[in-house]
Amino acid sequence: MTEVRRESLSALIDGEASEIEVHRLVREFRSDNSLTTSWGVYQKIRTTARRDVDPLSIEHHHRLFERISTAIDSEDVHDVVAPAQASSSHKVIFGSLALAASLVVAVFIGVQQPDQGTPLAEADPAAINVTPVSVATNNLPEQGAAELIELDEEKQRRLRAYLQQHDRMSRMNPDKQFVNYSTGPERASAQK
Amino acid sequence: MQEALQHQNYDGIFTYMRGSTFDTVRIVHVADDGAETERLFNLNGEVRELYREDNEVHCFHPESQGDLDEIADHSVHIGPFSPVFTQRVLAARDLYNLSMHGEDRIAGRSAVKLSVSPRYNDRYGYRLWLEEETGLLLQSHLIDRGTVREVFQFTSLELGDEVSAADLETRIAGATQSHQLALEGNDATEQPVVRVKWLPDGFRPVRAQGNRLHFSDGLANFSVFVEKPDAAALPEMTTTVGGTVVITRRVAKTGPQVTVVGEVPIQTARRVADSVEPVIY
Repeated sequence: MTEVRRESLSALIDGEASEIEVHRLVREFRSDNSLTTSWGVYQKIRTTARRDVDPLSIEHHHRLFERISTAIDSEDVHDVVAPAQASSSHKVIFGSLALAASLVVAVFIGVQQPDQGTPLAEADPAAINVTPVSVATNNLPEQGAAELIELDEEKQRRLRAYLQQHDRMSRMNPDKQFVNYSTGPERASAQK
Repeated sequence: MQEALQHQNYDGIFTYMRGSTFDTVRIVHVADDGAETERLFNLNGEVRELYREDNEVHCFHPESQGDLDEIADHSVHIGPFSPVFTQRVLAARDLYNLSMHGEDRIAGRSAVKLSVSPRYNDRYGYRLWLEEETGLLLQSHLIDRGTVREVFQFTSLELGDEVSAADLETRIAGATQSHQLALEGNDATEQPVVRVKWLPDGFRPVRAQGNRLHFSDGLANFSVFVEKPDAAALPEMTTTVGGTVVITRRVAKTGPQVTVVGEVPIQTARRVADSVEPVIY
């Protein structure tokens, strides 16, 4: 798409295009697929982005978001430095978490141990997490007790099969193959 | 945007990083009169190609890799999203806040940057970079409360006339072996053996088959697998692979084993797992 056409398109979306421009664009839409596509993309995104404008500006959102993130991070620190305060039920859950994390470590990245020295909150928030994330997302104490247990071949195969099937299902267009009956909460009783 | 991905020719290389796994894949996509043909080349690790003609998918391996049964991996990553993902962003406005963040440049192409943030922390958010002219997804970040969990990015991309059907040829040297991958259909004759009593807002069942249920809110997905306890049953565990959570639990002491797999935060997946009940017909 040329710059001129893009500008016309943009003007059209903004309601600023002249009548001549509108006619030209409409003619071109009929003959040019990529233009139709761009039109759809821009139109939808713009109207959507505009309609949903809430009283807070994007800048406000960012600031608020940062404040919340900081608050969450400092919460993590608290949990990491004070594991003794974790409730006993947390400990039970944590036991299976640590075990689980190490299992997948064993399965997916050989014998690489998660980095246990650095509290997660100190890590660069923009960095990709390479360690199992159970601690960060659950606000649970650090995983000092991690044990390496290998899944046998059969279990590895099953886990892999699950991940692959999930991936494949996720990529299919849900609209086209919507199930007719629900297994969800609303119609759960109708299942019987 | 759906058209962008389905009705365009493109040939590119993308990287897909999730957790400690890192894939590099070349994708050649050719659209001809409504028919889509595509070949994905796994560039890191084992040689593997995925060839797709519309809904028929074949996986190719070099014969030198040995017996097909011995080969563990039969997929090539197509990136984090279904081809209709960007289109679905617009349909999921009730659940996510959508905002534009100006322009950027990815793989040498102009891109518009979108932020898709969940209204609540029960699911992940996304940053998307769409190719300015076609709406093709050039880069994406999966975001869990400000932390990037997954990165998908095209590093090179050719579009339109630069791509021809000849680019779809295999690049495996020597003899190949292939097998068709069954696409999970929608076999409604098989009633699900469990039901999920709790779902996060906006998630609905999109596919169900005997021991497999699949849910989506339009953007995020998770699956629930159910097995009788057997030798291959996974131990009770909670973990993540990149942004994908895996939670396993037993329904009652002798009941079936439930595994939740999905791109949702651990707390959400756990609540789903805990709400699974057997269905007694």
